[in-house]
Amino acid sequence: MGGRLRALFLRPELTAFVSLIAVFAFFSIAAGNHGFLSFVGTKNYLQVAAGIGIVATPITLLLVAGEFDLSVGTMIAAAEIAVAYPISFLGWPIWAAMCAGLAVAVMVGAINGLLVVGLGIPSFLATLGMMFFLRGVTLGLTLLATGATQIFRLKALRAHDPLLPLFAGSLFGLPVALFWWLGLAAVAAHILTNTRYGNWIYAAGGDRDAAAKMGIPVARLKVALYIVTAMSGVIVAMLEMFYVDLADVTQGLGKEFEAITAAVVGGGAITGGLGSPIGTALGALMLGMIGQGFFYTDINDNWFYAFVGAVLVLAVIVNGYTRRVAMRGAPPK
Amino acid sequence: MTFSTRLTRTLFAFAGSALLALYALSTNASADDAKKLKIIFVSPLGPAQPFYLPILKGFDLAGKQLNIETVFRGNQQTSLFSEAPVVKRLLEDAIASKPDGLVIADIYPDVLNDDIVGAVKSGIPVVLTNNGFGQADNVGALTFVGTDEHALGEIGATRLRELGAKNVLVITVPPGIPFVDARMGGIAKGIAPSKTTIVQMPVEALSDQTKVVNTMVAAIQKDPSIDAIFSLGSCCGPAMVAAREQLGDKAKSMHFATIDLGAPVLDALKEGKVDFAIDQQQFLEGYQPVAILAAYLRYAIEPVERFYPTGPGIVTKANAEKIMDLTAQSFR
Repeated sequence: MGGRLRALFLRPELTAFVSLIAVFAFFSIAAGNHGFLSFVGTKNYLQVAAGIGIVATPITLLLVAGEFDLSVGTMIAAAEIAVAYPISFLGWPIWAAMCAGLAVAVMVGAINGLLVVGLGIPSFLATLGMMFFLRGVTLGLTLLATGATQIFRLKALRAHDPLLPLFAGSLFGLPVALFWWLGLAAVAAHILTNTRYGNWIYAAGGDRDAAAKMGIPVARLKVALYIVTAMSGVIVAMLEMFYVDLADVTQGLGKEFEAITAAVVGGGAITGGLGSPIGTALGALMLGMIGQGFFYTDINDNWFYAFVGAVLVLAVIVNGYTRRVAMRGAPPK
Repeated sequence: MTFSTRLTRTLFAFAGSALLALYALSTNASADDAKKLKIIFVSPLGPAQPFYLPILKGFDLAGKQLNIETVFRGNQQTSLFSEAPVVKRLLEDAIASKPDGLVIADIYPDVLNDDIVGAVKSGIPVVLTNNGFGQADNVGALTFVGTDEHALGEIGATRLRELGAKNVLVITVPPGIPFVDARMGGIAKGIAPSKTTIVQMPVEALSDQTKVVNTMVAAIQKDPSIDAIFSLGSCCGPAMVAAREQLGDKAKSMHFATIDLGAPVLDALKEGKVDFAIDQQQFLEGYQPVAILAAYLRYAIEPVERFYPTGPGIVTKANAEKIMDLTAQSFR
């Protein structure tokens, strides 16, 4: 294999891409004649992948910086209520309600960040605590304020809102969620590879003390990343609530694990220092494809989890194999 | 002062005030609790499950009206069913605290019944509710308040068949919970000679409504002969209405039914977009057990029947509007 080609296949994006092709080929054969390959079928998994990808993008930056965020799934539920309540009960326009959601995100992200960098609590525990706390507070406050756990009729209330198409519409026949996802992934990739903030993020995930000695504001950087991660939960919340026309205190549960899975499939390391927003996007696409593609196959629903687990591990094996093949015969350094 | 020290102080101040606020919000104990009768309700579900809100409302309202302390022990975290060992532990804790009466959603009879029998033998009267059809005699409970899930499934399926449905997409959760299996059994009986296409939603997908909607669309794309959707439970009623929108013109020739009375379903019923919703009138499943236990404990009145049916009722275009306000207040 030529040196340049080999270098290409050593990129985590490319190995993730190969396993994505493998998954796609599988569904094309197993479910191609059931609509998986159709436009509607494609839209179907792209939209689900977008929901995973939007939160997985900042999660990737956090992973590179050496931190976790387990509360982002719950943030989706909190944001749905924070945005839907003022729309439904106070008559706010979408932009104002969105600001309310973002304000909650800033608060949650800041607290997460402060717990981690200020008190030095491992991010796994700090954000796990936030996950439970936020879920409980969202449920408790929503019941207290509305007497219910769901808020409805959002689209009808804001039918002529100029911002509605940003969250409920489609562009070129594709759901807007897709464009949010691709845009955010591109921005994150640019930041990580082409700006000094990217270097800071890598440095923070490597050796924190060394990074601090180099004058990198590690604490502020991490707090900012937590805030951005929580904000991505607001975007997913708004896309979802305007798609289904329902805000619900239980939404987003488990999204944090899907996001981390996408990041790791895309070449991220749970131990920090490694990660690629483009690889993560491919990982999210793969998860969406596996989850929704299943329902186009003839496999009995009882086997869903067994299937998802098996395909995921197979995809990661393909990922590792591609990398090994690419590395074989690499010139000595 | 360093950035970190400032952060730490801010954080402590925040955590302290948050805890105080939380305490103020969450306590509602009154002074005369000591002499009141106390009834504990043990359940696999909780307030995060929209279907359960009317039950809890009925339970608390009965307590207030009848001057009884009502305590709920259920799933406070998610809208999913707590697993059997979790419910068993809740039940054992409730029995150990020696309440005057117990209300139990007997969702896992094989796991819970021994404990329930033990409670009854130790002198704690029990009313089963919401779950436990046919179990009242087995455990010595005063009665079961709720719905025969088999009948519910059969009534829904029969109605869809009579509307002309030939292939009904049934959106349900994975099997294994007795009442879910009973419901599916009823559907199988009622639908013949038409047929069903069953999709079991993976439980974690229920926390991503986009998945629920798109899975319904996928199922119909895969089998275009599907001409009706029967969506079981409040997880999937709003999603079904959203899926109907995604299906475009195809939806016009289809039939839609659900077991959910959320606002999207009621709106769709009113506009004729959903044919009917099955109503368990579950407010009574919270209210009635307290009333029955109060009458038993205070006046030694024992129900004659071991089954107090609260449903299934049917909501259609004709009566949807009437209950809209009540749904918004979680009475329905």
